[in-house]
Amino acid sequence: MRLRINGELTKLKVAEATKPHLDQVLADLGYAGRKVAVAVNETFVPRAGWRERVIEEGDRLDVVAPIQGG
Amino acid sequence: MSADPWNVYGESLESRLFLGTARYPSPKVMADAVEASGAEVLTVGLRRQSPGKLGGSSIWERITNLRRRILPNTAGCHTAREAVTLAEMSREIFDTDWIKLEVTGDDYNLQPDPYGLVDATKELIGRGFKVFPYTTDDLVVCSRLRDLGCEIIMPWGSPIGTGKGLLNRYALETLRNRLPDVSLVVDAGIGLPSHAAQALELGFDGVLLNTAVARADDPVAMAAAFARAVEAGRLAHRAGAMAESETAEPSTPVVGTPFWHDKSA
Repeated sequence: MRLRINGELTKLKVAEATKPHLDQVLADLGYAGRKVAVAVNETFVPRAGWRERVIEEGDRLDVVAPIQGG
Repeated sequence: MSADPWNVYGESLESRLFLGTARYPSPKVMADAVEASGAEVLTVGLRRQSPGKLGGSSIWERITNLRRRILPNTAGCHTAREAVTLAEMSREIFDTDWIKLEVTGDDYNLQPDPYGLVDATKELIGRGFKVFPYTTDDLVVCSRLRDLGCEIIMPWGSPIGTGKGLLNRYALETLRNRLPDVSLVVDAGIGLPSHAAQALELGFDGVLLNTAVARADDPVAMAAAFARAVEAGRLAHRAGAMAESETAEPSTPVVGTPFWHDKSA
């Protein structure tokens, strides 16, 4: 499955004929346990909804974390 | 000196200085500058995070350890939709409904887009956010933000990072006079403690700054200087300034001046 993660095209291995959920995709990408917030296709997905959110081929994920700011 | 707290969306604050957390020479200098400034509110941001990098979380831990109120920004957003999405992400990450709303309309001077700002403000207030809009000093835009329910409005003094101070004193004074019931904070453009003092003297409730402290030769000393300037400006505002005069008036009594001779005699 090909996704765009933070603007970069990324290939992810998934089982045939199953669509992964967002929590699984984030774990596969190495974000498990991290303080991040996520938008899929520019729409915010609350953490509580990660398990239900189905990820489709070509989805765009933005994964953000705190930084210093003005 | 008597205590002079102010109120921001129901939260009582003593300090009238909001401080940014970016552009310091090191995290330790940032932490020391925050202490020296007395700031109770710190601004932070959100950026894309690669899974391999831990930088974001370590910075966040340092900021958390300072135990201040957090005001996340939507810096870098160019549309209302982007800003609303980033605000939602911020609310979850930082566990606060406060948002410093930035919608950039022009990348050259990072001028706020008033149309996107008003649209995003309306949407975010509807979603339960406490919006701190970063705006130009346009009276009509600020009035609209007030009408939408903003209890605090943050007009620029001059463009972000320029340090040029209060470029349009007339516009800022007009905002103060026309919006007496809204908290007003000069956000951006402040380069010197005297600029901050001027804002408070005008009756602004506070200032938000970052670069002026972070990029000083000695950020910790500059943070202390700003703390005093803000306090001085506020005291001066409460004390009430003398009226300006076009002509000189001697401050030393004239009666009994020595060596004086009546030339008419």
